[in-house]
Amino acid sequence: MKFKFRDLKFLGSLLITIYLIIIFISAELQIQPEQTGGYRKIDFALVQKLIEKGELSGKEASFYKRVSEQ
Amino acid sequence: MSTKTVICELCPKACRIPHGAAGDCRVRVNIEGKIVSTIYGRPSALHVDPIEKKPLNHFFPGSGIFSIATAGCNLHCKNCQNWQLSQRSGAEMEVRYKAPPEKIVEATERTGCKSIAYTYSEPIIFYEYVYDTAKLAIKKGIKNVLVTAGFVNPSPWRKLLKLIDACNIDLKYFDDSLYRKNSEGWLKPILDSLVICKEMDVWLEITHLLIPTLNDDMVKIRKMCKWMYKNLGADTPLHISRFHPQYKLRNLPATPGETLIRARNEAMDVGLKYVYIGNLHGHPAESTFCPKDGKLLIKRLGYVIAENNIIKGRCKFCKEKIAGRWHDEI
Repeated sequence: MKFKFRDLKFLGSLLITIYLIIIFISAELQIQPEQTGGYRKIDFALVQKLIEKGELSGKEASFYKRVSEQ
Repeated sequence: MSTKTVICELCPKACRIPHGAAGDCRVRVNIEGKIVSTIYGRPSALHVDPIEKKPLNHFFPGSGIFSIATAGCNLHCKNCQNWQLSQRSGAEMEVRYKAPPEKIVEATERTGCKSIAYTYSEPIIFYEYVYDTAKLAIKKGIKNVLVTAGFVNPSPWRKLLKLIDACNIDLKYFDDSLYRKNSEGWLKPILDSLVICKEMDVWLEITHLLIPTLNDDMVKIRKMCKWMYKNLGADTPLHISRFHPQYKLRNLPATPGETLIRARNEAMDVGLKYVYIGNLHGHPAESTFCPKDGKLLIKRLGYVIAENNIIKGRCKFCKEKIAGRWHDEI
């Protein structure tokens, strides 16, 4: 099978397109997940105790939250 | 008892918090499937400041502002100047006042302050406390000011801004990778917050701390100023502020005065009308000058107003309108 210049051009543009898609996806991935979804472990017993004593607040922050399906 | 995991949608980090843990901000805790704001009404700092300290130079200059802050922050800047407050949880703080919103408003009136600043740490993480206090303050004719990094989701930001009169937003870097490396945040949400603030006609001033070797490249400063000019307008004041070594960036020197002056020149050259130099006390760029005739309008010595030549929001000499919120315009 013989390759023609036309085939090489097609292959070249295909590779460039794939390359651009990879760049785009990796840039998106950089922005999105690795810094989201985290949490911090705390001394929960102490927090509960301080809430009971009124030193910390037990007020629900109801505005912007969503219960996870997991 | 519910042990469901909850996703906090207040800021772009979208913390997925299991029962008994806190968000990245340390103060929003999942208790039985509910997010509890543990620092609501429990500020760790209460102070009366001059408004110039926020800094706000075009918002009722010379007035006092009742300033409050709680523990916690959703960013973790290596150069944080209030890290003892911002990088701790409510439980870790020794001082916690019991000050519900009505007490804050009452104290603001008692101290003769014109406005309340939600400041020092990061008001976004004590969102509900700010919201309830601001609502009460409006009823008493008190203004509300946010001093924030602007790292917040658009929906809560818009809701809160309806109650806010002025913001100073800290645009720390005009570079996404520097935000990630030095503050554990990222740039785009902050740029969005700035634009939303302007769209909603909340008075806006920007602070940009110039840190040697990190963000003192004049090409990038120019790029940032061009973005500001295009998206926020030439009237938005910019405070180029001097860095002092602290917290985890003690290895870097203080910003040389010459660098601050060069950065200011770049910003003015781009077309920004009001560019200040902060933390370099005694420098003429602490003062406000008329963008039309160049005359001195407000002479500042540190946080003290020595002279004010703005009358009804205009230059006393050439009558040019000066952007801002002024005492005699009300």
